[in-house]
Amino acid sequence: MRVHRLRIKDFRGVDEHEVSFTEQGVTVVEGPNEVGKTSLAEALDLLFEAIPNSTAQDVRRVKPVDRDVGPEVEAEISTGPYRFTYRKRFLKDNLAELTVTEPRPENLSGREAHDRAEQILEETVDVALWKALRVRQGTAVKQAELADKHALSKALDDAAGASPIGDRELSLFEAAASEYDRYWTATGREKAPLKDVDAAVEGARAQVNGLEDRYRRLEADVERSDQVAGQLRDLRAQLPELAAKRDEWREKRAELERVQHVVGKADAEHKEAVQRLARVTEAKEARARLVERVAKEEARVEEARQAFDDAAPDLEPLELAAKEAPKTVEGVRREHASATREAQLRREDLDHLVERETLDRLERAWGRVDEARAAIKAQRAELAKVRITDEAVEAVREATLVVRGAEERLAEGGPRVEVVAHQPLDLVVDESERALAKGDAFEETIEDTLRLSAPGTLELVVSAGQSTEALRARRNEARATLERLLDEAGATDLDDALAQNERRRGIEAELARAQDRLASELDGRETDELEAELAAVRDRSRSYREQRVEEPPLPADAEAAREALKAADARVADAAGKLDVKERERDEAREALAAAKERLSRLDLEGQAAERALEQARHDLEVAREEAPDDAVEKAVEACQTELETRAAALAKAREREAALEPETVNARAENAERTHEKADAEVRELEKEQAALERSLRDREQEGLHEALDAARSALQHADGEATSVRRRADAAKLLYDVLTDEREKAKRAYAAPLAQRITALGSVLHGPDFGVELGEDLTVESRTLNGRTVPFEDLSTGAQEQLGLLARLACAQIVAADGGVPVILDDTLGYTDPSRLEAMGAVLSTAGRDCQIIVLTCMPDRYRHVGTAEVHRLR
Amino acid sequence: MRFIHTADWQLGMTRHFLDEGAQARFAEARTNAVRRIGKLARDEGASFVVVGGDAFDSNHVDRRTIVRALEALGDVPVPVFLLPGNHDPLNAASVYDSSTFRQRAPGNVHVLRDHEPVEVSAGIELVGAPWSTKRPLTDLVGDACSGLDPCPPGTHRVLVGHGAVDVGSPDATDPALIALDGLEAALDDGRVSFVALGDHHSTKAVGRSGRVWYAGSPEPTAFDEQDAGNVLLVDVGDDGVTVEPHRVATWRFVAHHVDVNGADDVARFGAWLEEHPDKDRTVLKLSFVGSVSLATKARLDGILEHARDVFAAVQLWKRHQDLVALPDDSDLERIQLSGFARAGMDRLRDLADAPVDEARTARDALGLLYRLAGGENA
Repeated sequence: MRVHRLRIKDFRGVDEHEVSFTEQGVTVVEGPNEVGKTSLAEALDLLFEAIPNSTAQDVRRVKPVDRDVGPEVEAEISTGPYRFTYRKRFLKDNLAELTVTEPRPENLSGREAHDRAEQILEETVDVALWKALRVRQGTAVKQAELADKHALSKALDDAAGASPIGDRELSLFEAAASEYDRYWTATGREKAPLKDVDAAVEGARAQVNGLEDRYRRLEADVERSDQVAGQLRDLRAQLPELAAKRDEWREKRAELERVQHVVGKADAEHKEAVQRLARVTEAKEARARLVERVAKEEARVEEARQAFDDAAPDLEPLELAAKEAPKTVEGVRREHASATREAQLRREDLDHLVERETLDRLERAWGRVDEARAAIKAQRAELAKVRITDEAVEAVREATLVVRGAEERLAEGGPRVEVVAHQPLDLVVDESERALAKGDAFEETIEDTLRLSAPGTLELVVSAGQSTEALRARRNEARATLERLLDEAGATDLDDALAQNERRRGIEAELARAQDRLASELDGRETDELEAELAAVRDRSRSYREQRVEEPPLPADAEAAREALKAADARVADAAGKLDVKERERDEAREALAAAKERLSRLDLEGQAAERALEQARHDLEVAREEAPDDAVEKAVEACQTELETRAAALAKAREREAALEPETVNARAENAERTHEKADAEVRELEKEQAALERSLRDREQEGLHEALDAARSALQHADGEATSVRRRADAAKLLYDVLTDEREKAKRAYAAPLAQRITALGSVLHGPDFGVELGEDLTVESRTLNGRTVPFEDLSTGAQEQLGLLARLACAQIVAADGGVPVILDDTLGYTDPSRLEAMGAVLSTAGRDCQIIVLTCMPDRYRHVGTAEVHRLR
Repeated sequence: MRFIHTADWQLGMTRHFLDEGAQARFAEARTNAVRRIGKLARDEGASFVVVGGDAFDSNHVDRRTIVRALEALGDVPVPVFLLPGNHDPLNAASVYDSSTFRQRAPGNVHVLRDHEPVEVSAGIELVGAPWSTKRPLTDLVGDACSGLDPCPPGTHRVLVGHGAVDVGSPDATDPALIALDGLEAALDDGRVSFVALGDHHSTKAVGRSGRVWYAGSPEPTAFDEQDAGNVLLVDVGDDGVTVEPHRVATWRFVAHHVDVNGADDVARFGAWLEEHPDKDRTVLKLSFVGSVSLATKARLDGILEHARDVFAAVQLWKRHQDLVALPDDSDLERIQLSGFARAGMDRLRDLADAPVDEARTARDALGLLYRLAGGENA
């Protein structure tokens, strides 16, 4: 199909406009929107779609707003073998004219023209594809819906080398799909027909199972019934024999019971005899016991009397002893008192004698006190005679030394005389003689003068002269001081002073010792006190001697007194011990007497009691004898023994008869026969009951017609089964057919998608270079684009890239279908999203595509399409 | 003395291959067989009818079955003697003791409840060997026979029994088998004149005497019955016994094998079907073996579809079924597929040829494709 020329008049804002298009290649129609370039695309649609008298919204929209005129469209078109001019006016002065020039002239108007035009179009053009390839303003980025477009499919099939598919194949597919749809869901699950037949089979099977169950029970009951009948027959046959046996044993048991009755009677009589014998024997024994009791009581009386008599003599010595004992006690007590008194005396003696010793000591002490006092008095008298003191001695010593010093200095300072004897010689030196042996020598210092004379021979006086004057004065002064001091001390010289002082010290020491002795004797007491004590002791001692008894004599000394006291104390203790013994003996004698008396009294009472008991026993015996004399009792026992023997013999005989009948065997067998019969009888009744129940139950079921019901149910199951198999077979066939067809169809689609992809890739290479590719989906839409090795899903591409791909796909389709007449590609202001750098390349793409098909570009942006080199440009004004 | 010997009526039997309507007609036909026997008795002057067991298919048949049977029996103009057989033994649930039977049995109907001889008329007596359980442990007929004295002169005795005879029985251990020797001895020494047996559904004489007979079912009940559908008209007299089978059946059971390898075979089979009389009382069991085109198969299916409407029942013999339908070139020409459809069909053809489980489904799918593509109308 080619659009050669399009004219619009009174169409929207356009008064009149006509555009011619290149048959093969790109026509770009430029013009601002309001000029109506979009109106051209719209006009082409209206021309074919709207009936001439249409007042549809689409039509009314294109009427000029300011004028009351009808919009008009005219196109010159060639398609297939046809070439025609088609004109329509809407709303006012409606008009439709179709002027066909090829293949043969036709002139039609009005509705006929419309219908014929539609017919031609449908015959030669895939309208759907045509519309799909159109890009309207603002829809640029959408992909064309290419799947199931007839012309495209056919073209693609041709391109893919497959044999052409037509309605036949498509309708077969539809039919297969709807067959599949009868049995299966889209996801392959079973639908009602399959489920229903399965359910029917299940239902029928349940029915059969139920009936078979009932049938089996019925059969089992019938069988059981037969069994019961057989058992009943057998048991009923056995019953009479069992009854006969039972009766036989009943008879034997009756006989046994009779014998056992006799045994019972004999046994009772025997027991009675035994009891009777026991009773009389007991009476006999009671009599014997009574007699024995009398004897025993008599013995006891005798015994009591004897005991009393035996005990009575014991009393007298006891009474005597009880009387003597206190007297003995008294004697001992006196003895004790005497010893005590003596001990007292001895104790006082001892005290006295001890005090006498004290007195002696005191006397002696008093003597020493006197002595000490005398010594003190004498020493004090001596001391009074001495004037010297320690200080005076010291002063003398000092003065002596001063004198000696002065003398020495005089000697040293004075002239010295040395004498040597050359032969023995007697000399007088200052009036003292001195004998010298040959060789002796001596020296002498001259204080004042020295007189040396050898009697008879010579006298030599040496004087010191003036040189020693001062020394002599000092010596004389010192001598004077010494003289005064010696005078004051009453001593002649230092040695005397020293000696006198020594004597004073001795006297003073002697005095101190005497004072010490006195103090020691007094021991802190005053002399008066000692004297008073001495006097008191002397008085007491004397007065004790004067008052004391004469006998026994006072012991010689304290030691003796102590001995005497010890002896006396021993006697006291002895007496006290003896007293205790005697007193105890006295008490014991008293108690023994009381006990003896008590015992006698008791024995007496016992004797009386025994006598009373004896009396009672005698009375009892007497009463018993009155009732039955002893020989009568004896005889009764004998009679009863005889009777018992008779009875025992009778019992033994009866038992023998019983044993002969074998009672255990008879009882056991009789019992067994009873039970056996009863059991059989009970079993018969039980079976009869069961039989009756079974019969009732079987009769109840007889109306059920189970046989036919079961057969019918089995038939139904078989039918259901057959039906299920057949339906399932049909369903499986439908599924297989559908699956296979779907699979093949997809395969085919994939096969003819290849040429389209190839075409798109070829066109895309112009735009993007050789490293461009696309993958198409089964619906022929672009799924992804691969560029420079990177594959991006379509929906993730930029809007511009999507737009370009959409355009490429449309152009590729148009190219593919071009050979078969093709359809024009009308692009209304596309590439709005494509950046300027790509626009140039897109121009090349459009040019390339334009070589195979008619492309009409409507735009208000002429720049976008400047690069379509081959384009014929038409400007709207 | 003339009487009718029949057996194995099996009233109350259902056949699963019959649909509901056919089943009703089948049942009716078998009840009516009783009336036809009555008519035969009247026509041929038989003085009584003896049924050798299994008059009922079970003791537990539907009440209506009993009632209808008794109605038909009432129409028989002569006494009818029924022997309880293995299907209707005289046990606790016996149909003959059912309240329906007891209340409704017409006066001419008698049940042989034991082997006490029954004098039917002057000079002829019946001795029954009834089954009282489904699994007897002895030869009931032999037992009935053993207590018999030789017939008094001028009297003829018919022994009525049920079960298989020991000669030629597949189950030799069954204690209930009827000893043929014993029967023949009894026939020989004159204790018995004729033995009327039931159990075997085909008419047949056993042994050398010619006096021991299975009457067979008056209407066929299965495909494997050799000669069902007869009753025996028996004459017993001083000069011997004559037995004459009479056909009373109205139904037929036909098993048929067809080799189909082309349209001609199908046409022949169609003709064979057409030739059948009484189609609504004919039960078919068919087996097909061969290989045909889809078109031929479609034609065969059409014929069978029609047969199902016409015949009492058409049963396919599954075990012997081996018909392969595959599209041939003419089929393909007829439906003229191209593109993916053609590819799909080719794939199915491959599958159908392959020895895989899917092959049958693939053949079904091909048939379906053929039908959906309009091949049958082309």
